[in-house]
Amino acid sequence: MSSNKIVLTSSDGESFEVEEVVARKLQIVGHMLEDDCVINEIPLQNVTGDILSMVIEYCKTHVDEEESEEAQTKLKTWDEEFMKKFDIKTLLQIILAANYLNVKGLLDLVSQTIADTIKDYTPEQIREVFGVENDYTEEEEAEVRKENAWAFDEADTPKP
Amino acid sequence: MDTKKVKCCSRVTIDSFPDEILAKIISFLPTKRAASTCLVSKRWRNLFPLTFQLFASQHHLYLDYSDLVYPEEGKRERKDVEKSFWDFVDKAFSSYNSIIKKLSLKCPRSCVHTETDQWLSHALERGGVVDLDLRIPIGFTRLQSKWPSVFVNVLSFVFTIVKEKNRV
Repeated sequence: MSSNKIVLTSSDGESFEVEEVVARKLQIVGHMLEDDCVINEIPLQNVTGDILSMVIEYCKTHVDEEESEEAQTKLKTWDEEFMKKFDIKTLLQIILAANYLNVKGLLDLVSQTIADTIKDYTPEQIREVFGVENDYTEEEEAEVRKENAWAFDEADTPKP
Repeated sequence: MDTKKVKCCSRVTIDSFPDEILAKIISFLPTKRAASTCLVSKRWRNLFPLTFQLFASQHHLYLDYSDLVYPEEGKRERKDVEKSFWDFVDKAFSSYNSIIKKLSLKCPRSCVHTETDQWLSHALERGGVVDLDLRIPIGFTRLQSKWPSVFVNVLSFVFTIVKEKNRV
């Protein structure tokens, strides 16, 4: 295993020294290294230090993904515990970072975790969590409800 | 509430999210819940077709007529509710062009034979279904006579014949 170190710097100037194999889990870094293999320090403009440190923690744990069932189960348990640490606002930041840094495993993991969290939410609750403004007029909303009547529980529907 | 220190531009608002990420999150929801997210806002309404195009091949397309079972008496029999479900399935298949990872289709006694045949043919012709879980009543579909050739791309197939029960 290569012991070459790479320094990753966040948008707010925090630096993390990691092994090259770990850094390569961030595909954005992998591509930079392929283009020019003498880079030792990589600035990552779209991610803050607190979020980057979590992404790195994930990548360190997933650095050698063994095929054996035992190793997979262990990783899965670790993933679950890791995800429990974060509230949904933080998860949203992590998913943006995972998308920017191109860490596919983490992107899937966080998507699944967010989906599990919101799966029992009403549309109103989803708006609240994501800070989405309802831009339907009353008539439009009624129309959309009608078109998708099968997908709504009566409990979600405001009484007329 | 846990408000982390806001550093430079780390404040997340949903407007800064690319459609692809939202679609990805939605793709991990159960199909029925994914469909109901269309009510969140106009932008979210447009996400559902994208969810289909991008990710249905990785996940489970679960079309279950029993989704129409509601605690409220009579909703299942309402024609508009039933039609909205058929429209949804129709739209889902017509906007969808690649292999489906897993398709579960549960149908009731009353669903229209030709439509179900069409959906299955659609799904199977457009690249195929890896894993098909079909639950339909006995003697239900005319497609049965063509099955051996139609299902050539299906790797795993669970077929359950639903015993008809008298509904209350």
